Amino acid sequence: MNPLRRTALQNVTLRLAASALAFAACGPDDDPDPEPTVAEGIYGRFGDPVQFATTEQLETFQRGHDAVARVFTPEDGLGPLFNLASCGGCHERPVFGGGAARYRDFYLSASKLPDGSYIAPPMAGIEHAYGIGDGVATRPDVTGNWNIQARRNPIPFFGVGLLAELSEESILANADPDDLDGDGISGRPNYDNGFVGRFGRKAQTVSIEGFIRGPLNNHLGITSDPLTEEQRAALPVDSSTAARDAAVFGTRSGALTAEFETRRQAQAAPPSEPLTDTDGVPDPELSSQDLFDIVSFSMLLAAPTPSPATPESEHGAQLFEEVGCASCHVPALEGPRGLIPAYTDLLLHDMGEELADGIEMGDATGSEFRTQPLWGVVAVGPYLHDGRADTLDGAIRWHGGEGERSRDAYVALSELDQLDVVAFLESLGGLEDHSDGLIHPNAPIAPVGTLGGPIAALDASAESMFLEGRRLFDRDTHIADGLGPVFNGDSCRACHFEVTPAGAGPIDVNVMRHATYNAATDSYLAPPAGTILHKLTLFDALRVEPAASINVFEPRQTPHTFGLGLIDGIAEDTIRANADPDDADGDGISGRVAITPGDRVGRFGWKAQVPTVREFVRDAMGAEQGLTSPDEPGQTFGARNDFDDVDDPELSVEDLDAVEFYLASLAPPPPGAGDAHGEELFETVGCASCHIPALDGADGPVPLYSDLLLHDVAADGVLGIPDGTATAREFRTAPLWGLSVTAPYMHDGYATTIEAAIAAHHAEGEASAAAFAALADSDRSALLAFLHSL
Amino acid sequence: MTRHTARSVPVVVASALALGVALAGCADDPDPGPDAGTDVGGDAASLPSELVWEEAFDAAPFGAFMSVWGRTGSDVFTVGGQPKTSADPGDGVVFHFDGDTWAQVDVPTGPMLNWVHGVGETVFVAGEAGRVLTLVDGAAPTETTLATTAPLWGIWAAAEDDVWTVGGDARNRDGAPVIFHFDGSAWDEVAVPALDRDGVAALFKVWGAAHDDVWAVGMLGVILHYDGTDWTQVASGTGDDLVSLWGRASDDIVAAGGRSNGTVGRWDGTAWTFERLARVSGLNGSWMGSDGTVLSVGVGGRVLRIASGFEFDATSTPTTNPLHAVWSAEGGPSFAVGGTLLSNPPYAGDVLIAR
Repeated sequence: MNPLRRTALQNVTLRLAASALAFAACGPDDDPDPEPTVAEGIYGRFGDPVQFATTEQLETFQRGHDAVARVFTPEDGLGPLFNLASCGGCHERPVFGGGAARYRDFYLSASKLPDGSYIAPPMAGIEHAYGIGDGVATRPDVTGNWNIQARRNPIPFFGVGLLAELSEESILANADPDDLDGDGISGRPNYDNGFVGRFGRKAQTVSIEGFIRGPLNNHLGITSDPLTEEQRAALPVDSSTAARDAAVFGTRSGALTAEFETRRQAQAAPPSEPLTDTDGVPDPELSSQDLFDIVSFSMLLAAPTPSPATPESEHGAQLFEEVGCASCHVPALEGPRGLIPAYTDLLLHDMGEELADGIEMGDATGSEFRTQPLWGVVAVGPYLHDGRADTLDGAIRWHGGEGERSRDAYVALSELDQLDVVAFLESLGGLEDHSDGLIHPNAPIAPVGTLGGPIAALDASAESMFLEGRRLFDRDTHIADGLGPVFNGDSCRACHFEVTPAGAGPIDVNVMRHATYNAATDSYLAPPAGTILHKLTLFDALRVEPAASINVFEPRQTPHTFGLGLIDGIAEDTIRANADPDDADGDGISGRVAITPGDRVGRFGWKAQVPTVREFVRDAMGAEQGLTSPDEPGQTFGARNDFDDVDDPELSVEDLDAVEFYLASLAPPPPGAGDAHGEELFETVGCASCHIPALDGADGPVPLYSDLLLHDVAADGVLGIPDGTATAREFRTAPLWGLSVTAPYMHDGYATTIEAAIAAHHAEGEASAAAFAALADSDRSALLAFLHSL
Repeated sequence: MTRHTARSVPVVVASALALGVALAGCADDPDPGPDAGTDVGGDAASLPSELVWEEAFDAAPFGAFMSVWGRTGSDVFTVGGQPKTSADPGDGVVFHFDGDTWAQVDVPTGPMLNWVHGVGETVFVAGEAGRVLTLVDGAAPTETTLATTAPLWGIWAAAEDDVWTVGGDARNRDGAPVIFHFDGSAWDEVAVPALDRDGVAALFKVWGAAHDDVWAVGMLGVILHYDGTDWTQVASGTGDDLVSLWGRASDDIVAAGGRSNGTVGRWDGTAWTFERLARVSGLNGSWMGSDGTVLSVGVGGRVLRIASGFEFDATSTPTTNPLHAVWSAEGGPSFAVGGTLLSNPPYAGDVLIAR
């Protein structure tokens, strides 16, 4: 840490804390050497563009926002290996451009060999949760003999355009790699393509374009070409080679020196080569325009507006300095627009063995990390590179290595002083956007009969119960709440969120089932821990890998939960009445009742393996989040205990009551304007044989378009996973209500459109699928219009 | 630090292009060959203190140039072309410089050519899809397709009947590197030894100080050594891709590579020592003169000159395209080649000369 630099920046901290925003610009004519002030126009609400964006840039910003939200499908080029299907999937909190909860965490692997070689596997060592090569779903293996596995929580990128504009000198001014000032803080730059790195947990990347193309390829399997020279010149932060050359050759010509190169325009880092993959979709899979728009969107994202100072936050700012946090979390770096108060030096620091992850990137060692910017930090938890900290206080306490002295000083503060430090951090923007879920705590209940709203009007007591259930459904489950030790999501909403919480989930939150199939005996052997192959573990555990004997994987898409209460009210005899297990009527459609423990009829889940909403909640809480439930008379499903550090049961009866009430109260998807001819065709082509339009419920017909029975609709040769009394090839007839807003389709979610879903029906559904295919175009359109109206 | 003003002085001899083979060997300063002793890495002594790079000819229409090598400064070959793609069969090209004129050599049709090296009157060229060309003074070039579909990235001849080529499909994560040896009559695949690291799909270059002192480098820092009998892996201490190597003696060899950041390694006869050059992008080509001077080229179109150790001067050139190979004659001239290798094909090439 450069002491001279720090003195000036200490002033900045105090001024920021004192007035939060109001930094009057100092005219250059007033003072020949004016003290730098905070850059103007850089702030906004989370997700807003910078205030100095031009009209044209604002249009690009909107297009980029839409491109970030785009959910890619296999037809678009998703895969063959992927972790998620959209940029926004990992950068959604609190809005696009932010981070994500733990359900979007991912793993990195690498090897450190005895000779010191650090071996990074392909695709930056990123492990993938899903593989769809050759039409077969898998959990891709951790390839090779890697001896390092690390965890990452998605990183927010608000204000990255402002960081991109910083000169290398402004970053290097704080470097003290040999700790010459003896303050225990070193700080050294990382390098990328010869430039000082500034993005990523290890400052391993210098170019925003590179920081977008890389993850798009590594996490989505989406290929792209580098931007053209003309496009780079048109970006909000000029990234053209011409800009670089102007910087390089503008004042001196000829030979370059290391010192001289620091003046280069970093965003003009040489492009990496065009990316390709083997999924059969022509490369590049991302258009040049979309890439340009996403890079522009990123560059234009504003820094989050700080909150007005309070006595507590002002005191916290003072303590922040005193305990030494500001040694690395330098309050501001000076950019061409003025001071950029990101609270980072963008340098690497050794954070000690407890935080070390072994991952080396560029010059960064396994224990070095870039100082994370703190603007807006409160709204982008969980914290630290692997999301191990539930709270800001927890994040501070994890600091080791160069941060140990400051951590100890913080821990030695009184509890009130610690709260003031946290209050200061919370004042750095985003406090009003902070939420433990996607639904703001004060958000009103959706109107009766709409998606996310109740079936009927709620009285005060019911409304209170509904809101509590919604909160529990939507909230992030923290480690302290009992998350894990293995899990697929850290909230119910983590999987059920399209198009609103409680809805369906895209294929990047599919639950992976697995088993060993013995062809000789035509039998399946489930793994000892069950057929669910969990996607995630707590931060200190390795990823769960399938046993070598596993030869069948079956992804299961997240269905929506609208109208569950109505399905719950259908009498068992009503479901049994449509069963024809031996196809006695010879129509080619059988239909078996799924039987669950206690000889009860199953009705929920892709295999109708769960009998009631209550048990669905208990099951999902345990299987997907690792939350244990109390014993309840007459209730099956649900984990009673687990092996994390939180006492069991981690849910109370009241918690379960609230979530059950919420789900049972949710209205079914509201129907749209029907298509009479399409409805008629739905009957004549045979869809209605299984997708029975309505079953009698407790309060009248329930128009779910399902018989809730098991049918074999799998293609020849397909191996699935048995579940309960359902065989490997049998699935419950999926209810069709809400079809148009609950894509993707079929049990694996690999049918992107309704047409593709119909075509994916085989065996008992094959005749209907063929009949649909044989319809005239106008009839097919009418039938699809009817399905969309459901 | 040497300082030069970047100039663009095209030296195009259009009339010489597309002519037939004109491969008269120059006997003035023949490569002494690997059996002549350990001082066999290059045929250059001290280079001029300043290297001023200029375009040798308008190479853009012919694709990217991947390799340059010569017997003398007036008997130089550069190879490259266009790679095979789903839309294009590719087009490998060879040019020869006689000290005055660059002439395209008429070679069999096929995809891109990646590396060139020769001994005596014979020049060997390795390329995509396992193709190897043999150019003998006064004779028509011949082509051999080796038993691999992978690209061959490097080739080095200890003698006309003792030639090594290496390669592999670096983009195929399930692929494996290949080594072939020519004994004067046939090419035979040689087993790659078991490696201490996963994911090595390609070896990129091969070079030797003697027929029984041959080195190969490749992906993820892998280094192999041939002692006249067996190939064995040698500890490198780096996981960076190593793209090229050259030397002047059995105890003075340099390797270069890296992707986002340039990496240089040195072999002192006992161990390899690597250093990542913070201010340098990935390096591709390297050459060492008889006085130990190292030239290395890579992304960004710059030429590093390393007098000793890892201290370097960087010199700009007329191009910012990646340079892929560098070679120099005794006291110069020096040559560097490359092209738009970080863009989609078709490539546009650069052939540079510093006199």
